[in-house]
Amino acid sequence: MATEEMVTLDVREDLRNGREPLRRILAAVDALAPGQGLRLLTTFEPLPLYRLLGGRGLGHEARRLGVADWEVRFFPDAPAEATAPVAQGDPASGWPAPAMHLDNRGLEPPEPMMRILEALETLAPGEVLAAVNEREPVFLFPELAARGHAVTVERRDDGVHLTIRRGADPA
Amino acid sequence: MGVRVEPWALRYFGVAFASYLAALAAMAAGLTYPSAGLLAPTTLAAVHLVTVGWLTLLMLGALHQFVPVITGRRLASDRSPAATLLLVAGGLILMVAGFLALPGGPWPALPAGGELLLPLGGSAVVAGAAVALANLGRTLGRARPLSLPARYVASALGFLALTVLLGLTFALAMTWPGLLPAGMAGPLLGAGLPLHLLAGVGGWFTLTAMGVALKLLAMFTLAPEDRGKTGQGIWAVTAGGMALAWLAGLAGVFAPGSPAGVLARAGWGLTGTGVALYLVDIRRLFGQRRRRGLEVNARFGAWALGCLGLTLLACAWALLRGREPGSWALAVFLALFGWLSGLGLSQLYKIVPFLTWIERYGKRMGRERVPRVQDLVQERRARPWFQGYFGAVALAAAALAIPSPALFRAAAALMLLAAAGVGRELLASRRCPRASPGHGARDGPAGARDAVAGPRGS
Repeated sequence: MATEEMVTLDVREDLRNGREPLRRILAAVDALAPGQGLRLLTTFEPLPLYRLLGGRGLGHEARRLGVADWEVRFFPDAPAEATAPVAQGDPASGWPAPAMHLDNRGLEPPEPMMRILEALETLAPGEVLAAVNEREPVFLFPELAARGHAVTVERRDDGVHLTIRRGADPA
Repeated sequence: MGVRVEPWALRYFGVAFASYLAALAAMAAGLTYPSAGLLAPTTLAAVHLVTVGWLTLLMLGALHQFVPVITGRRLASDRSPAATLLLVAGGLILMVAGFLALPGGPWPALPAGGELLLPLGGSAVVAGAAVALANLGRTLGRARPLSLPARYVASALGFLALTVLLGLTFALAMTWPGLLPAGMAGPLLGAGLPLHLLAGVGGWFTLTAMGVALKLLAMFTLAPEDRGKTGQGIWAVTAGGMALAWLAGLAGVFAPGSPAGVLARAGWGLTGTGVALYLVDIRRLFGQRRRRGLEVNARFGAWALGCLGLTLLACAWALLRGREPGSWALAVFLALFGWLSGLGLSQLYKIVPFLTWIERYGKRMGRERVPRVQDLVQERRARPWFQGYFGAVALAAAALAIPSPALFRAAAALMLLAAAGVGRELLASRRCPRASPGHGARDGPAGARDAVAGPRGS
């Protein structure tokens, strides 16, 4: 997508000064012309926004620019992978369709593990997270078990696909 | 399913590092070759502090963590790592005392029973290695078919068995000369030494290091781990060549002049070719990486791999100069201190903070702000120690080639200083990181929810 079709919003200054940027972000999304996307500059990866804007049909693509420097592009004509499918979920396991998708390929260990655990905390018990990793996150599994989350792993040509269902909140 | 942090791994690293510093101090003090003889008791004591204490414990500690990582399975036994560490470290202390009690050593007048130290210590090391072999071997056996790094490790473990068994045979033959059949002890003690070295430095250490380097460098530079049929072929040629050189060498000990000599040379040739191809493939791996900037572990890992290349050249030079033992000293030195110790130091600089981080923040991840792994280290402060270490190794290698005992001692003192500097950085990474807000510390979703209200608005 060409940059002209992207509106840029930089909320890093707001975040550093402790100001809540959500209102500005939603206003920017509302003001998008049809076919236009939002390029958001922030100090951390805004995982909860993925769901919120995913609900409005926006896919996302995140890039880390520095230690506390992220560029996230939200775009309307999202590739299939970036939007939550409206499928029925997996009938075999009885799990619902994933509420969030993460592509962790191209991230150095242990970033994929951190990202998955952070994303799970934004889900409600019973909701499902789908993630694609470059390799099996071996240190993640005991942590998932300790937190009561269930996981299935499938190795495909394009990576290791993880489906994780958030368990009930531990005390 | 899944892998936990092996609590014994870091204890192995601690004992290994202490042993390494002790050996470097002995070298700086002029107790070893070239100030003393190549087979002088003090040289032998220092060599085993490096090989048994530092490199064997470093690699066993790493493998007790690494084998579960490459196989995705837990260790067959959770109790055996402790037994191995106690047996090998205890055995090493007895062995070092035993070497110093040899005729011509500083403790020749040790009370009665002093001559038993070497075989006792050697037996303890063999027992410790056997426990580790059973545990790691069973873990690997359950994970077949083996991945490429796992094949390197499995073949290396075979050579570990050969190394310690041959070493124990030496100790027994030296203590009780009548033990071996007449005509066997002499040749074995004389011509068997290169076999002990080949199995230990070539088979056990180098094959392990090749497999571990492949995995760690691919993992942390985001390069493809799958080296394809070429990678498998390189492993087969290297490990097969070493096995051929070793077996033919053993045959040659008892029947010198037979075709064994030709076969042994063929084995050496295959090994050299395999290692050279491995270096070419690793170079390709660096070129394929998606992470452009190199962290300390990858940058100095590459320097260590460069030392592996220099070791090959030194081996070729020694072969051309014939059987003069001094010419092999340079090759063995470059292998032990440039390639293996250099790789060990640089990879510890990744492994120690990584394990510390998982251990400390695993439970808290996602629930509160946690630092990144890189926040536990200060690369800018660590870099000069690594540069100094490799510089000192180059100086010491030059001193061996001349040879100049005085220059070697000075270079060893610099190596000791630099290694201690790296050790201090490793200890610093175990302590709490500087948690300066907004700098390094990363917002978890708790922070994220505050800043950008999530859908659940919690």
